[in-house]
Amino acid sequence: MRIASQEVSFLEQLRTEFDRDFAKPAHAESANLEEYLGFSTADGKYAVLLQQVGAVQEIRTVTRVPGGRAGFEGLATVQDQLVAVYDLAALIAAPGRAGARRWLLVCQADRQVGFAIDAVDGYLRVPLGHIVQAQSEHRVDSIRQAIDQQDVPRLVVDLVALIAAIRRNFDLGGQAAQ
Amino acid sequence: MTSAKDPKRYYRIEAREILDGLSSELLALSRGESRPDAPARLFRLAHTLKGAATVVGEDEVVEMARILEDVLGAHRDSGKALSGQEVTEFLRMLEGLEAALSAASPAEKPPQTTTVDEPVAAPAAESLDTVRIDLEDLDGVTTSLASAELQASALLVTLRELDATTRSLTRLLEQQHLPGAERSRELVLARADAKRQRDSIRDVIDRLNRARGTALARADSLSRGLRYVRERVGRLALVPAANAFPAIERAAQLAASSTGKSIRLDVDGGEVRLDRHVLPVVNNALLHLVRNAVDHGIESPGVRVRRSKPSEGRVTLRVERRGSRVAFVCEDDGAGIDPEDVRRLAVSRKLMSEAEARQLDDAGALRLLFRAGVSTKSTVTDLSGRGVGLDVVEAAASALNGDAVLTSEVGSGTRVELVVPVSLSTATVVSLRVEDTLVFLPLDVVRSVARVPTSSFITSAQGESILHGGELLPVLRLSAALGLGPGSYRDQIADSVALAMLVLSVQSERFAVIADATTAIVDVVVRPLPWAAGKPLGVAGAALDVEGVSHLVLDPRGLLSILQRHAGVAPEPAPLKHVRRSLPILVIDDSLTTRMLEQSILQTAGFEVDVATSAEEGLGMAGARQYGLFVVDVEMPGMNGFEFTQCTRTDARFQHIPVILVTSLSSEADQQRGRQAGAAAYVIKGQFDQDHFLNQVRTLSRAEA
Repeated sequence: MRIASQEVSFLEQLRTEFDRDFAKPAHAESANLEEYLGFSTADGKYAVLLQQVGAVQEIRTVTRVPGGRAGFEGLATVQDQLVAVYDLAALIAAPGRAGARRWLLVCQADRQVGFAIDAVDGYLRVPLGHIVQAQSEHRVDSIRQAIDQQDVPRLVVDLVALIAAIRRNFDLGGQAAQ
Repeated sequence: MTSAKDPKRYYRIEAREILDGLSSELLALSRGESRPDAPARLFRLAHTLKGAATVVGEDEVVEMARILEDVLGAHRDSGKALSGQEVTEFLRMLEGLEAALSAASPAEKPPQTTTVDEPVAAPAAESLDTVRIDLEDLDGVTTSLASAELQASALLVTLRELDATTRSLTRLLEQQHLPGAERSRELVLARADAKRQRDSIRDVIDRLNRARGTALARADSLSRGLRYVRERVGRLALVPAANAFPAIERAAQLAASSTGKSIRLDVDGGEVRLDRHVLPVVNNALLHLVRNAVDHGIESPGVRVRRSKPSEGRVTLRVERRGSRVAFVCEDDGAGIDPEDVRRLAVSRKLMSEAEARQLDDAGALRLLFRAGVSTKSTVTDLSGRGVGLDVVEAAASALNGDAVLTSEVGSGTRVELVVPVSLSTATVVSLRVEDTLVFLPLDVVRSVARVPTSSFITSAQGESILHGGELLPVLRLSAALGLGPGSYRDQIADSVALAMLVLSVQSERFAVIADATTAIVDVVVRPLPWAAGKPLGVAGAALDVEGVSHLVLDPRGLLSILQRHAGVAPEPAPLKHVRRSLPILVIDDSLTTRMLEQSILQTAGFEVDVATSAEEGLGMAGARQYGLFVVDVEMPGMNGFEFTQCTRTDARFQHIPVILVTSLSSEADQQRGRQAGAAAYVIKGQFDQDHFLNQVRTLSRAEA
């Protein structure tokens, strides 16, 4: 097959535009924003970095499993895979009520662990300037930052740190994870 | 796993095949087979191994292969055969190479491939009509197929629900009344219109039904097809038992040469295939078994000749497929094990008292050898005698939900049978309802199922038991054992609801598990629990149902451990209606049968009963708890029943508690002696009458109360 010369120049133009777009720096506005998933649990408002979330699923059934690890609720199935469900509020020692957890956050880094929460509030784009240090009374390994965007700051939960805490706990044979 | 992530993957596959080839050749030489070309063949293998190891930087292997190459090269060039000592040395070196190869393997993931249509254990080269398949890829395919099968099953369920919907629609249509025959034009038109609408809806229902029927048939075919493919793929992922043989043969030969014994190892059943996750665990156990057989079992040539046996000892390893299980049977024609030696050993190691050891039958005594630290070998050798060996077999059986049984005849030999499931991933299970939860129990350990009324349970300090088929079985309530809450036990007592009882046989122990109901027998794909769920005792994994909901798959050996660990798992029982509020009765008898019989009779009559196996133990218990009556055997090791009675009559703490002596001693003199000792009643076992016995118990315990 032969390609006409004007087609060649058009393809060349497309390629050049494509390459130029790729070479451009990220949009200045996006560069100054972080993406979060906002959620509520135990009467508190929280957020988690979107890149840490592997899946969000409504909880249908949690199968009870013997053993009494702190915060461990049982097993759920997410995309045909077994997931160990932990009550996020229990792990971060959230002071609120033990409500009916309806949603499951599965961590991108380890899809064998899911965290039960009350409600998903939505997608948040947060300017970097609104991300502050969590107040000392809230600060634990898994909560170091907060989003100071509304009246009540949203604590940022680090799912990877939570999983590391659970793993440490298994290594130590203990009951609490925080 | 990709080769980029695991650069030594192909090296391990090749090295594995080379080691098997070296092993097979050396073992043939050790059996005295004439193989003039052996040095040349062995040299080529050593040379290839050296090259492969050099490429991946396995320096230790390179060095060992170089030594082999040097020695074998000299033999190849001179045409001189290898000496027996050299063969033994090379076999020993292979052990080192095996260890180096294991060290090169990623943790917990031994390199394995399966070759379709390949002769078992043949040193394989890729050929035109065979393909190599990574078993991890096969595992992935099996899991995906299981998921697809579940989806197809769920589709079937949905289509069946649609059937119910269309039937409801049809019923509604039939109930619809058309306007009656009217003369007015409007009503005639309305009636015709309604009839047209009804016919249209009926037509839609008919078409829906036809479509549903077709979809149902296709979904059913899809479901069966997927199941067939999953089973076939599952079979492809099985590896031949023969893969374990070379290392076992080497271990046997090395054990024989180390101990100066002459042995012949016969292996059979290498074509039997089993789960690749099962074989490594079994392999380790078999290595210990064979070493033990040679080191402990087979006598030295001189001793064998004196015992009129051939000087060469014989060890047999046989692999047999038995339904969904595989049996590994290791037999030797050695000295055998005297159960009395094991009893003595158990007492000397303080594992049990002399009285307890005496109560063990021979099979029970031999079972002690499966416990860590128990070995009848009086001297420690490099091979065995440290009490390690049979406990490894037991650990393998435990890890695989299998069984290990040892039988032995003094002077004739020993036989150990290790029976494990073919596959860990698929299982036929009984689905049980426990409280509001479904759990799955592997069917192969279930011996019988029955509905039992709650009133049939017998409660003692040791927990609950039930008389079933003339057998007193300990009872494990799944609701309590699995932490699903004590549940509605008390309500069930009140309502006299019958429960499902399943009699299980695990590790030669029989016990009953109690659930609310059995619901079905199904085949499931067992998945390991996520790491963050821990490893709860009594749970082997989980399986998904057609709705995608997970259910626990129980581990029968774990359940037995729970039963043994917490003899009183059952919730505090509600008092039965006819239980008298009298003090408990202490039954003291060294005979298990008598003890259980008396306990059963008394508990059925509503008494609370504790049991002791000796008079000394009984005295200890009496000091710790207040009893209303002692029921005591006379002939017991240590303190006898007469002495116990005299002792308690002179002790202010116990002298008010009546004693009934229950004994086979029937002479008048013995009865007189019992009365003199202070017994309130004397029951002769040969003339035992249950009603009379209970009357005496009631009278004496009432008098005491």
